[in-house]
Amino acid sequence: MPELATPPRAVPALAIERLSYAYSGTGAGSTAGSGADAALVLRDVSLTLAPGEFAVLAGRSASGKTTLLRAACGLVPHFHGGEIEGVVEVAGIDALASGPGELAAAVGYVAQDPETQIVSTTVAAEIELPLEMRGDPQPARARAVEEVALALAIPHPLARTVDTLSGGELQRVALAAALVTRPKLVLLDEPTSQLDPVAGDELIWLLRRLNEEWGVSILLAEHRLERCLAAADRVIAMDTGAIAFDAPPRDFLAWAQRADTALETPGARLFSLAGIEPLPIGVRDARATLHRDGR
Amino acid sequence: MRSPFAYTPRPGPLQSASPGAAVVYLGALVAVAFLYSSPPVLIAAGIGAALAGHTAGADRAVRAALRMGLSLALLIVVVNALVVNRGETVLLRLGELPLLGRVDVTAEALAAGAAIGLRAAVAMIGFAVYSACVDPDRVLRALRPIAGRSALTAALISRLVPVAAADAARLRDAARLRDPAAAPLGRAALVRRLTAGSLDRAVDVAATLELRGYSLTRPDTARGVRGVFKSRFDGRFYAAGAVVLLAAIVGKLLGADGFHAYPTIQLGVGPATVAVAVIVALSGLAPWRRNAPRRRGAPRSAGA
Repeated sequence: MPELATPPRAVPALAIERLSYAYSGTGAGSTAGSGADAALVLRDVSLTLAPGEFAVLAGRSASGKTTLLRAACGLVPHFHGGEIEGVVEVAGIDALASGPGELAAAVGYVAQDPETQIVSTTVAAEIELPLEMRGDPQPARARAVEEVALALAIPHPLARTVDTLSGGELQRVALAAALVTRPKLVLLDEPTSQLDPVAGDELIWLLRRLNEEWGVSILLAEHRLERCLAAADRVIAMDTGAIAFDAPPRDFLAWAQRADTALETPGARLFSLAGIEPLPIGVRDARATLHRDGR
Repeated sequence: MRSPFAYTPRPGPLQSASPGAAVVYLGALVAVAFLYSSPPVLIAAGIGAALAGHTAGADRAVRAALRMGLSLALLIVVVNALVVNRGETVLLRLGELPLLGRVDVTAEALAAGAAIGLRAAVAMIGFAVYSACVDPDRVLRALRPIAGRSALTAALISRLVPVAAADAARLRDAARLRDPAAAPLGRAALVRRLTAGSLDRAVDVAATLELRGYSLTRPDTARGVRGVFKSRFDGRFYAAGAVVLLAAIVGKLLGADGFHAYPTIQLGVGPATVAVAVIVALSGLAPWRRNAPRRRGAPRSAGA
């Protein structure tokens, strides 16, 4: 009987194993030492993100969300220094051995402040920069810029100077620059924190659409969870540098109610006060529950 | 509102020139200010830098730099007069002051302060013209072969001014929105916040550059970027910069810098000083554009 060919296992978009990290200058001589434990920003973090998965990274301030994202894109330890132990692989590339530049083709990163993520004077130059840096020919760059601008609904003309853009438009341009290399993984660190509610919602659903259409994996750190739970496949909650919870959004809401009420969404809190089950992960979900219960 | 120092794309020779040529040209004018103490040459360097800005279309930047530069110059004059007691021509005896001790305001200290202040003002005008006329994108790309492994250096050189300018505009807007009853935000506090914030943000910009692959070795780096940044105007600016520097050095050797503040003010304005001043001032015309570009198909004249 002929052997059936086994399909190759998909390489995870992000694979982190036993990652511990301390920033330099925090008194941590080695991440392994017990005396250095207090300075650790990440503690024994293990996490795998499958291709095409959309995960939300939740947690209070200083819980290690930003540092985890920085480690996943190579800024930690290559740019910020510090002591690191463990394994970080992005689409099969060793992130601790490769710098952020080498990882740029596999991972895109969007930070909180759109102003500091824009390094060029025009929209087109900004989106094109990663391709130019890796030496892509001009026609291919122009085509890629047009495609990503179209996908993200960035208004033309692309020769506009970036100082004429609103915060939401700037954030879209930063996202376009992160996506133009067609990375396997996009990391976003509170990208809606400086946007108005409408622009913030638009950005989250734009991410979901790109996640579905392009198959790009997304790891999104957010404080305003009510905005993004409905778009997510999974929620990873962090607490003092360690992963405290990792499950689908609805389970997360039940966990947050028990373990950390600061992470509860306003809708879930309202439902739990009214004694309505299940807790809603979004407005549509809440409406459906209320309709079903005839309220 | 856009900062006056923000780069504005214009089809002028200075804007079209390669960053290296622009730096040589404007740097030569600023170098004159640091080589000379003679007020006529310093004023000529200021005129040269302002003229360069005007002919390049950066009037707003020049005006703003003049305002800031002359305010700084005034401050330097006052401070120098209070802390330096040298000089034989006492204009005012202020007696014993706390911290400063005996303070005699002398004409020599005022003149020396004015020379230092002028120097600072010229540097500010030159830098303002650079910021408003030289495309930071081209600077960033030109720096890559030199500072490819240091995104922070590149970010500081090419992005610090635009980022600081954007921050300044935001801080000014925030200050305007404060309650009228609130204590006014002083200029010093604004500058302090701006400096601290800008350096932090330059680090963030450097991180972004790293993420965009700035430190990657580009396949065609070996061929260099020289061809990419060449402009037909480069020769003009290299030549203007060389002439200014040459005139300044030769003039210095011929005694064109005949200014001594102490113990009494001595200002020698000989032919060499006049020649250097004229050359330096006229160099400001280098970005001048003889003819505006004619639109394709436009008639040469009404009768043609």
